Amino acid sequence: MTRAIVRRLYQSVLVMFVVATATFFLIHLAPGDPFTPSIESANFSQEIVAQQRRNFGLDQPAHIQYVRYLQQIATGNFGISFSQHRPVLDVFYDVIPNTIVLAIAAILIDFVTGMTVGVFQSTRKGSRVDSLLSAISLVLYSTPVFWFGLMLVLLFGVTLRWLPTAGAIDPVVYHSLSLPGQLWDRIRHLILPAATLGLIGAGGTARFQRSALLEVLAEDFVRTARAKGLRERTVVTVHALRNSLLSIITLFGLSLPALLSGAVLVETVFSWPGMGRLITDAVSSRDYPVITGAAIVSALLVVAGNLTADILYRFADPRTRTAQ
Amino acid sequence: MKYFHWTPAGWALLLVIARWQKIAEFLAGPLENKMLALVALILIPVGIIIALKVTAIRKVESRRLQLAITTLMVLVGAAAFAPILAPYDPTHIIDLANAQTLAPSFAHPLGTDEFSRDLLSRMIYGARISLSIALLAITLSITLGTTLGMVAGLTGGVTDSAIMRSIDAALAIPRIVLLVVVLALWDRRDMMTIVLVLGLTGWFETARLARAEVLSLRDRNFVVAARASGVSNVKILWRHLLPNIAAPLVVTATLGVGQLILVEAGLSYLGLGVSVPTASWGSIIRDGRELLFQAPWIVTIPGFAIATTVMVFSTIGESVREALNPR
Repeated sequence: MTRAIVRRLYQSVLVMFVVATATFFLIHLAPGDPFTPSIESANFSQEIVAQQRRNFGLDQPAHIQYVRYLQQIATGNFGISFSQHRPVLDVFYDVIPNTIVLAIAAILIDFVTGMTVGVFQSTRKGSRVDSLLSAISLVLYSTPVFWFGLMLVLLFGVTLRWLPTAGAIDPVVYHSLSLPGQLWDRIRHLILPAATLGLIGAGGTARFQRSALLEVLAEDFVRTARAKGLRERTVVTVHALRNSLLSIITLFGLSLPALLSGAVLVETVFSWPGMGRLITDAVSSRDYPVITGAAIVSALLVVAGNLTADILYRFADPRTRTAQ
Repeated sequence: MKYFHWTPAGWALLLVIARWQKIAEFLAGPLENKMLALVALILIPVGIIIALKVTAIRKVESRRLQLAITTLMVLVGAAAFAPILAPYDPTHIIDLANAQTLAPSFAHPLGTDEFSRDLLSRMIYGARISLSIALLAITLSITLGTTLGMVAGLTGGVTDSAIMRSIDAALAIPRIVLLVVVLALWDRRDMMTIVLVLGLTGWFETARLARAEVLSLRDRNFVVAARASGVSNVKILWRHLLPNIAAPLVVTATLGVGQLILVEAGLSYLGLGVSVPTASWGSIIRDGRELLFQAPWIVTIPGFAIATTVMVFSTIGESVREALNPR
């Protein structure tokens, strides 16, 4: 088992290398650079532009830039942000915790709701409740996440005025609050973005859990368990659900990139100070180091998540332990 | 003539009579509009017949499917005949002083936006952009993914590992982040740029699927026999393997269209879709987001359109899967 994990680790490093290379070339294939004259900067003199290019190493030939870039990334140095004039890594330290908090909250909502609904549905297959819940999950699965967020803002933020709709903390009163008060403020700000991301994901998870569990419920060992006279509840939770968990773990690994994609949009909707918002801001200021860094860091999060899913899978399924 | 109904035919006739002036304009207008309409006129019946034939093979729960196909046809029709159906030009600024953010009314069934543009017209033309981008991009990515995946699966060795490791890497970057990285540095983005970028970043999962399918067929007797009788690799791929893996690919493509519509809407929401003032459903939402409180209809309506369209493609895709996949 350790050997398999080491092999996966090695593969992950390789993947990260390819990601770094690909982002570098993508950025450099695109026309223009941050110092290409635009409407706002048309008046700058050529010397200043050339000097800025030199400062950021953009005057070097591409292969030299590439080697230097790889060296820096390997040491965790993503360069200096063009727009914020401080190391990209520092910028990331500010935003990554916010994105991770949002992602974890969303994953919890996603899998707890999705799996509960899916299990509930598969025990009542074909009933009215089942088709109603199927319809709801199809709708959620098909809804654009950013629009769902806006609708929640409209309902809970504007019409009912129950919850704050922007930012991670209340900028005015936060620092005068007591510690529990600060925590409560953070939670209140987290509810809407996490619910948006989590509920949209739960639509897909419920559909997946339903079909995974239905498949397992048709297996011979379930019939045996029923024939033994076990209670239906025990059959479903102990015998069937545990088996369908394997495919749910796979789904968990696969849904991470989608979750982070959603986070980019949701963070923009709710002005959540995380990676996603950083990326969209970096785009408008053409902040190369931040964009490439963000792509690499989000890939790193995905790879780490996949590795976790893989280890969980091996832990959950004894058959894979001896296979490799 | 089994599928002919008088009711829709009557509506179509009424529409032609009511809009004859626009139709005359349309016929005298630009060629590309007419080409698009022609393609749609061919595509609609072909699509209906294929979908009904496929699902008739095994009896699929067909009520939902019929509803989905009908909705899709309405959408495709609206997109193709946008110049005839839309009451205004989608970028026409009607009256900046008096017609800003009007609520839905008889003159403007869906209201107007911040720049006093008619939202119904923008929605109809937006359908055109959103659907064309999704359909063209899925064609590109399915073709690319199938080809590369099949080649990887059949040849194996270094080619295979190179392709598969690149795919692993590409899939590790969240889709929206990848698209943002690529699109961020373009100043003007027309429809074809978006199609290319979406198509070129969307084939990874298809390639994995095609490869897995080829691997499961590669050593079967019919392939071995073909190879033994001296059939070339290209011909084995095209003649012997492709027909056998077509079913899952069709399902992936149909479901993929829905996902592409969502992704395109997301990009437009971030301001990275087709450049303004061209309307797409996502960019209408973007335009309305600052007016969420004063003019909630601007944001609300396109969202329903997107969700409906995605649902249509999900339903059709799943029905086809059900029909092709006995279990």
